[in-house]
Amino acid sequence: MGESEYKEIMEAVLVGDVEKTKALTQEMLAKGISPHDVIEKGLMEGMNLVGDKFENREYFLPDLLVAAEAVKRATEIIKPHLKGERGKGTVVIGTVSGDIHDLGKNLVASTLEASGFRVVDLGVDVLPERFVNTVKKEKANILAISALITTTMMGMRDIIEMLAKSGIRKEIKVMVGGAPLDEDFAKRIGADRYARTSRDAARKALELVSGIGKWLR
Amino acid sequence: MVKMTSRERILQAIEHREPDRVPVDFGNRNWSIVNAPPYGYKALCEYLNISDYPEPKIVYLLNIVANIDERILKKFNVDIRNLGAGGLGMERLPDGTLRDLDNHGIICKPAGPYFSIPDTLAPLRNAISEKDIEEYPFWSDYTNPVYFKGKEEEAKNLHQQTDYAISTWVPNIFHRYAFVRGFNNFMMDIRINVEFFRALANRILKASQTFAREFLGRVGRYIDIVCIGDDMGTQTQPFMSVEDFRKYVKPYWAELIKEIKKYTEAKILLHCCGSIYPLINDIIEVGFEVLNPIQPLAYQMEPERLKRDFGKRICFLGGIDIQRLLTFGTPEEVREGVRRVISILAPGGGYILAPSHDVQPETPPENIVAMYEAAKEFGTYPVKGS
Repeated sequence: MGESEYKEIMEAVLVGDVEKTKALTQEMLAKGISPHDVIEKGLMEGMNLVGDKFENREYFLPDLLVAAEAVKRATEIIKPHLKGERGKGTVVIGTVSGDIHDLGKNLVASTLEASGFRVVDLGVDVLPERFVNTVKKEKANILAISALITTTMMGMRDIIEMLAKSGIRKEIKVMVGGAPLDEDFAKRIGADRYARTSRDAARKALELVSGIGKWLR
Repeated sequence: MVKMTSRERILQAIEHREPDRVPVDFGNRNWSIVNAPPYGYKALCEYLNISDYPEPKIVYLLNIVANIDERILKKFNVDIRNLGAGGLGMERLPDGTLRDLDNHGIICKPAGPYFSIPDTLAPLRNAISEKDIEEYPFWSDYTNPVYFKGKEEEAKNLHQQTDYAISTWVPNIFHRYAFVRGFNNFMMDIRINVEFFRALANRILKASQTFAREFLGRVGRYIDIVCIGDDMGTQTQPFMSVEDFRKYVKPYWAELIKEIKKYTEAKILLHCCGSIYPLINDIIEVGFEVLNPIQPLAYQMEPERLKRDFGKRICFLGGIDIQRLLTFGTPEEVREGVRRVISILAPGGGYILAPSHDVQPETPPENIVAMYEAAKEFGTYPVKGS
């Protein structure tokens, strides 16, 4: 397998060419390239470059969103080929109750999906009991919660407490993110990780399901 | 210095001449106060021993008070009074969401102390053609007299019987684009759907121009400041690059300003949140004379930088930080913060003091009072430079 194909699909993601990204994905799968390699060496690498450019202010929201859209559509094509595999694990994700911001949450969801996780997206304004019930039902490895308003971020603590009351806190890793949050806040409410960006979220999610991360709090 | 009227003071500041004191504003849309606990408007009134204030008129979406009690405005020496348009209001839908009939039927939903406008409910989120745009049934008709009935009289009275500067608002373009189409789609349309983008932006521009014609055609000669609120920034950067901004935003603003200028000689204010430093040169070029809200904690929005680079060419309205200082500071810290901002932004005129957005629910009333007391204490010209 030549490097040039990965480079080509990375480029397509980087310039936000949705149609080309989809076509290349199909081509690569037809050639027998493993779906995981298409994701990891192609789509994710492209998305990482986009993330870097966004953080450096070379890229702006339109660039970021179109690239994310390209990855999302390509991932839809790949999904059936991943059937039966759990990949890296299952993430349940959503925005806390009373908050309906989802720009960041959606980016994190697509990035996690492209990183090989099965993602169950509960959307926005999600009640604590729904988070907890879905975690149980889906046997999730990670719960990822987002909040964008200072008044709703306190709801994250309720969710974590409810996980504890339901006796499943030990089996699940909790990641939190959103503009008003920081590392300190995450620690205070008893979350396992705080993620600042979607890229950070993917890195930390992988860390959490990897051997050593499982035992780190 | 001879004491000036509020109107003179505001106009002098906008024209970069030093008035008698730094003019101030409060209670206007986008620099008012949120009506929600733990503090909010109610706590402010109680703190000032005002119990018989009129029922708050709430501006939906922002959940702010449009009719701050006149005694508060007088106590704070507020120099501007706002003339609001009439409207049809909100329609409650069976699923509990609300349709804003005055804003092209956008759908919003209560969320915490505010209203949110979810992308997933944006009425034109699935539109693909110009035909879809034209057939959309909820375009607001700004020729409807409900928007301007009685307003000519009201504006005339404000102009003749008070000496306040009078402001009013004209509907924006791109906020409405984001609301009817969804914010993500707005951003993506300028990349992968340019033809559709132009059709929709033109449709919204046309409506805003109609409002300008119908409303300002009647009240324009009594108005001192026309405001447009069209956000272009996050906390850390503009939504889009300067190149995209010039291609996709600036020309539409230029057309709207051109229409407004037909009906009024008022100064034109842009409310544009967040980190927008790279856009300011173009904002001045396109014809805005006042820039609001100046959020000092947003990237590259430090008052020093703005005064240095643009202070002679545009007037700033706002600048007193609502994200940390007013919300979590002590009254003494607020006083010092106000002194500092005045010392940077006020020399040479070109500054109207106000909070850097609507005062948030967590803000203790004593901090709001401290802000306006400090404005009085430190605002007399000549101000001490930094």
